[in-house]
Amino acid sequence: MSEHELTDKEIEAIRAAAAKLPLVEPSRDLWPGIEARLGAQVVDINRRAQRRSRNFVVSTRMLASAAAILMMATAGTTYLVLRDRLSAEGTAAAATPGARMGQSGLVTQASLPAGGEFSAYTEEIGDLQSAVAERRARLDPATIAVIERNLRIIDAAIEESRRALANDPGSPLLTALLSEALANKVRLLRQAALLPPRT
Amino acid sequence: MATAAMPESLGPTVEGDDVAAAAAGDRKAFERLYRLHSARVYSLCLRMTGNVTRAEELTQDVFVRVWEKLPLFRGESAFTTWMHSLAVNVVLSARKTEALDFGRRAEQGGGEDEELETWDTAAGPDKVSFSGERIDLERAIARLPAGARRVFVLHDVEGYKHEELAGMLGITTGGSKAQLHRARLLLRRALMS
Repeated sequence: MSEHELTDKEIEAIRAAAAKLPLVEPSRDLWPGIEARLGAQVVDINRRAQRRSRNFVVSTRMLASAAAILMMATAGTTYLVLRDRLSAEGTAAAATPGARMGQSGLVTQASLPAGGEFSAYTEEIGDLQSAVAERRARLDPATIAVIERNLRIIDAAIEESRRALANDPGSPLLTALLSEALANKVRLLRQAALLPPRT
Repeated sequence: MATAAMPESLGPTVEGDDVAAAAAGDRKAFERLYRLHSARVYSLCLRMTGNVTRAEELTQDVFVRVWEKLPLFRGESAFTTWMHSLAVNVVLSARKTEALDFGRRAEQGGGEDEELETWDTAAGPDKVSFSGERIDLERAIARLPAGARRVFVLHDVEGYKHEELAGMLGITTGGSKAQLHRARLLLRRALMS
């Protein structure tokens, strides 16, 4: 028998043994760690902004990547927090050019950066918008109105940051602001996607 | 791809109810889904990484990802199949993220295939008999080079085809077959030693 060859019988024996491997239970309960990451996480946006403004030494790509990882790893700010915070700015921001509503209601249409550091957001937002659009008819109209108003505000911020970044592509601050706005949109869409249907 | 059998304690209707409830934000329902499927996900993570700590982290990552993606689950496939596919994606994505570290190790004389990841199976799964001897197949798998281990686990344990593996791992079908052959040769050597 060659050292580099296997007989059919040997292959079959290995395959059979592999297929019969039993399931392995984790040695500890992993649920508490999972549950801690599921919840709506309340984030003090103002404090985060202050911390961010002191952190100019990191690169643009690092900031965007870190924000993208954070976006994927957390459930995000609660819908209520966003509503309370953002509705306070609602009137002015809603009138900002570029904040447009899509025809399918919750699907808003801020121009998203293509590819690069922001591709994770683009993909996630697309998926979530599809999910929310499908559930729209089952949600409370008053709630939808609030969500739409907040999405318009976030879209205005995305649009504004995107345009500013186009003029100053290397700016860590603008990159962080755009990442923050995109992360806010993801959080809000996630909450909308998880809303229970109206009773 | 092979699909896991549904545990007998919970029928598909009960699980379907929990899936729907969890998708709507019911954490208790999601915890029940975790209890039902944690061993399957953990087994995959453990065998893919050969490392207990990393497998625990990845298992948590998988379930967080499942929670986030549940509103997108449309029931076009069985929940188990959907979740398993997502778990594989999480593990492979983590591998890509860690590839930079492997690259740095390779520059220092090591490399991904030389990594030694240990999984002490003394208190772990059952031993598997092979050629009349009582051999720890799990330990032998854990000691495979990372590339060969991933292909072996996904092909021989999880039931993926080479064409699927090529797309998932970013290698050619021939490369997948070569890694599988290498894994089996190494396993034979380990099992017969």
